[in-house]
Amino acid sequence: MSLYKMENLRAVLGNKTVLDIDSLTVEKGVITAFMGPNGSGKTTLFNILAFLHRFHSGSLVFDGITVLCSQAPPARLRQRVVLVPQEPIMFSSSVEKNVAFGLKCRGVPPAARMRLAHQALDEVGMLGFAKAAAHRLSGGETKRVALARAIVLEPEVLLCDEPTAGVDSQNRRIILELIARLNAQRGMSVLITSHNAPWLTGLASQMVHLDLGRIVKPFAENTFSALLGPDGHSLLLTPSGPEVLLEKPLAADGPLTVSLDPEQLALLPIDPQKAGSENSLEGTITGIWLKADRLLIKVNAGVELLVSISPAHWKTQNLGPGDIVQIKITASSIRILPEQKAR
Amino acid sequence: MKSFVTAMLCVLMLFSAFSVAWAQNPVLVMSTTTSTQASGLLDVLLPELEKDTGIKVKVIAKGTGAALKDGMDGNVDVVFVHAKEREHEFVQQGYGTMRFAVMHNDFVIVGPPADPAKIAGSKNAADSLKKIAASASPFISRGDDSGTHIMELDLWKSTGLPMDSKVTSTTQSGKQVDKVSISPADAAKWYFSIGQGMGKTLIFADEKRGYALTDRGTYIKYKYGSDTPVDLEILCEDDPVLHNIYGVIPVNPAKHPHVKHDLAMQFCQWLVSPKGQALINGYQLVGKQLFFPDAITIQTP
Amino acid sequence: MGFFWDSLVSAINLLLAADSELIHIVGVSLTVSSSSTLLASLAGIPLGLFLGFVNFLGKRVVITLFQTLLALPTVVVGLFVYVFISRRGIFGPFDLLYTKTAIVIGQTILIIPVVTVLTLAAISRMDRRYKDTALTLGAGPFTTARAVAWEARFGIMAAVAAAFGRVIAEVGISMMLGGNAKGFTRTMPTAMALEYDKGEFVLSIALGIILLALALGVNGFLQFFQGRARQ
Repeated sequence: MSLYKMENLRAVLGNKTVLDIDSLTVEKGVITAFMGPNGSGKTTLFNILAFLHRFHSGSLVFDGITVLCSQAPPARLRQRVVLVPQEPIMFSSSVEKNVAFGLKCRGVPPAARMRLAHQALDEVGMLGFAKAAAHRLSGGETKRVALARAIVLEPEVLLCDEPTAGVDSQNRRIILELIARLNAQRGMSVLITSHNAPWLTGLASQMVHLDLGRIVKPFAENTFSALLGPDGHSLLLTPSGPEVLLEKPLAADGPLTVSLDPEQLALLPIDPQKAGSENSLEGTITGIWLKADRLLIKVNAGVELLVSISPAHWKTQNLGPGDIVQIKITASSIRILPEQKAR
Repeated sequence: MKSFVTAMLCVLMLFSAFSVAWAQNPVLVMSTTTSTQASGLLDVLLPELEKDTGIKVKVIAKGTGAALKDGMDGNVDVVFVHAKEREHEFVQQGYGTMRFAVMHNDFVIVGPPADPAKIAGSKNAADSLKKIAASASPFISRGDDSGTHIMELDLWKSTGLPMDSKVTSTTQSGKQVDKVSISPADAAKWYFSIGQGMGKTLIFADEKRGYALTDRGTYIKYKYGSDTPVDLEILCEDDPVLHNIYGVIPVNPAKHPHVKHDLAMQFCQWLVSPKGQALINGYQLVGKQLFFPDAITIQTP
Repeated sequence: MGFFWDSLVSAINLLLAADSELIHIVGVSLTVSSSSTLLASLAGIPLGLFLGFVNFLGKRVVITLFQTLLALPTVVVGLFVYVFISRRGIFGPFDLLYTKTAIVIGQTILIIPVVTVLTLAAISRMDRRYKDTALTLGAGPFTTARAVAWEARFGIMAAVAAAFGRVIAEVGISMMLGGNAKGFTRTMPTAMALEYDKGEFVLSIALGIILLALALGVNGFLQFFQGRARQ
């Protein structure tokens, strides 16, 4: 059952198209992740999906209800969807009053809404701050309270824009666990964005990659702008990334967008004698995730690269986070993406 | 940009040329009471003066108090006011050189046609005020230290009714100066001291259906010379105490060396000359004579 | 300089003597100005909020109109009201001219644009996220407006303070509609104008100093209040 169905959805800011989605369906009852760099249109899309901002053309169907671009979104739809923005803002009152705000709008009596607000604060580990001044909380605390303020309403859909950006690791864990729990226990549909978070791959059942307002193909996590060396023998990952020497020259020129397929990359222990060999990069392991039956290894090699390997293979390597490794970039792993149209 | 600057310069030059031309005509600065200007008398006198003597007069119209103060401070060259006692004081204290008695007009008590105090036809000003007080009918006072205000207070004093006096102390040059202001006692409900000019006082009286002491000229102007005439009648007139004598005094160059004493003297002498006196005698507003020439002899202190 | 010194000493003396006339004048000024500020706020704040939140055809024109009215000279308002409430005007029978009520009417008209425009400015300055947050949490337009207005409360208070400042120091309307009647409608600015007309400059400036002190007191009070609320 589809939750959102979009066709040719376009949003324009000034004279610039900031969102241009040909076709996209978001399923009900699952976690859907939207990935892409800053400025890729994620926030614009979420504001539209939360019925806060209007779009300019195309069609949007929410749970069988058609939302028209020509009219302000109907207020009753907003009661079913709650957006937690990337940088939530607190009303200048107490934390508990902030959390109870939406309940008050829904006519919940004072005693009940305080009880529910405290429950929600407990869920995000912020009950101790119930009486504190909400607008003086730290960034991570604000995000947690904002999440409590949203989930207390038990919406059908929760939209979380960059819930972990600028949040320390402890707060990040609390937030991610909560999102997973909301989906698993209450069947809440969750839409989540991130500009650079491989951890989403373990959480979401559907991944949508956005760039410059358009849906792009997967592997976007290993997608880079690149410059080809003089005679096609080297590839410079930009903006300030490392240079990969190529065995076989590539037949292309000018600035490129390349994607490195995580499945086709090989991970090797560092070999002191063969340092700086062709088709390889050196880097440090910074994270490991299990996704389905594969392991995703994040390596910082000047740019962040994801490598997908089998758990069995991993065991033989005897590697762990912090270890320096070599990534073999085979010719088959390099895909040259069609050049983004200039807009 | 360049053309803009040029244009601005041209305008500036034009202005300066103007002011030079202006400066060539002798300009006399005169402080006077509002009644001489409001009655329109100056509009008749000053063009004739300029024709005869070439003197232009810049008129600053104020209450008598402020007009005399302007003279004391040397802001003006000559004062033309009506408060005989204070004018003599002004000359005695050396602020003015001499006082010329120019003319007089007369004052009347006006009030609503309904006349709640029953003073219509009275020729006794003090008696009329007593009746107004007894009936607690609204009475509007100038309250601005003007000649009219001073005359009104003198009239109240002559009724023998109890008066309130209030002392306001200010410090001037380090010395305490007490200023006594008086007003009828127990009059809080009906005595309105508004501190404004004669015209405003008449409008106020019209609105409040009250009485007021006014010079005849201003009254005629607001009664017969206005699109929205005040609904007030003359109820008391022809009492000799209601005569109001105007004097003109050149400011003393010994106190303020920059004043144009010669011009001021020339102006005063022109006012009391047969020509000036005839103009005053002949001036009429809506068919009524307002001012009566007084300069039979030149008074010196 | 001695002139100013004289005035300062006179002002202090007047205050120390608790001069009954002065106290009455200050009382009239304060009651009239605070009444008109209150009335103008009751009209201007909702108007500013309306313009800030509701979109309608010709809204820019209305805003431009209000901004123009900021420059309204007091004599124009005075004259306008005068025509209505004078004994010959349509509200003549109510006997309003030369009363405190008349001044309040005129001053209220004068500062409604001030409160409206500054309230609108305070709302427009607010972070867009306040509105979006209220909306996404399910608030209707009215609750959303109230939530944003609450966040803009210091700006709105500043609007009210500015309006008060305009009327407490205003001469034209007080003179034309109040008539400067001693013991009735004499306010500090009209008293100053009168003392100037009488040539009593020292007394005039002394009153000016007291007026400034009064304005300072009111603004200091507001600042203190804002400072506490921000903590």
